[in-house]
Amino acid sequence: MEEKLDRWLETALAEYADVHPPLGFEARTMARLREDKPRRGWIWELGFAVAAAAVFVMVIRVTVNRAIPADPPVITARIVVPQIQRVVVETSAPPARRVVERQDATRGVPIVASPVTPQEEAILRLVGNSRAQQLASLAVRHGDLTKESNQLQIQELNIPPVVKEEEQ
Amino acid sequence: MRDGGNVLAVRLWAKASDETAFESCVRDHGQVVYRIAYSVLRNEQDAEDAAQETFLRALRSGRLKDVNDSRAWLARIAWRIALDHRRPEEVAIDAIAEPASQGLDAEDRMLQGERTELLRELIRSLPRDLQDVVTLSTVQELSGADVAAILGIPEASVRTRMHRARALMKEKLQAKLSGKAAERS
Repeated sequence: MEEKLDRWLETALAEYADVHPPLGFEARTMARLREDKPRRGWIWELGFAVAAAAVFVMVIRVTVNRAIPADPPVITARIVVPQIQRVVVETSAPPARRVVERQDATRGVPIVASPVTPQEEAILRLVGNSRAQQLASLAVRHGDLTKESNQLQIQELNIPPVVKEEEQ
Repeated sequence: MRDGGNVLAVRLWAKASDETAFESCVRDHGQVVYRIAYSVLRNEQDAEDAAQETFLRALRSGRLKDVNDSRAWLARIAWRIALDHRRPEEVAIDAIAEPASQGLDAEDRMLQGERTELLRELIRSLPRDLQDVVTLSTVQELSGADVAAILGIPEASVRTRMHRARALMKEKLQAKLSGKAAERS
């Protein structure tokens, strides 16, 4: 019985293992491999194209969005030159002091190259004005000096002459 | 231009040689790959699909040239793919058609298909570790060492498991035939 079972099993296993691929198996397999090849290539090419496009778009976006340094602001503020008061010279009263209003409009304004800056212009005017003021003050003083000089008492000094010892 | 032409020629040659290499690979190992797939799936169409998928995976991996033993490598791939494709089925040994005549003397008259089907169910009724060994051992081209390499077990284990599997199958077959004989008497 045991031997028969063994024999049955051997036979069954041999039959079980007796398998052959169907006709045209190799050709069909090769055809499927060939069919898959271009598809794979196409997928890779598409992938590379998409990646390249993504990189290109990112580079463009970064370039466009880069911060552009702003131009220095153009200042159109008017520079107000302080009015210079004319000095009225009065002999009886002391000359009025020239009042110059402090203007802060020029503060913070960049210096612009020009033949004469507002500051320089202001100084020139001040100098020009000062001369007149000085003359006026001198004129006032002169009047006063004449008054004072009238009050001066001139005394004569007697200075003995120097006698040499040899002559004595 | 001349260099470009050379590059193109080399590429065309490489492409052609790749195709030739794959063609020879399919020719050399197609049968064993198909048999491994068939041993698991027991269906021609499924086995062919699994075999083709095996070669496709090998092609996609691009390692065919780097592998030392391409036959063993393809066999492992085919085994895994076939297991993935295997449909779960209930083991129903009693549902198998009874041999046309009672007793082992009449087995010669038994149709080959019926015998094969009975063996298949016997194999499927085995524990999984024994089932794998028997399945792969039925592939003509595979030696004990090949089976051991595919399953990742020592060769001695393959022999031991095969021995146990045969004993179990004989036991089940005997029980089945005895039961049927008793029912008839």
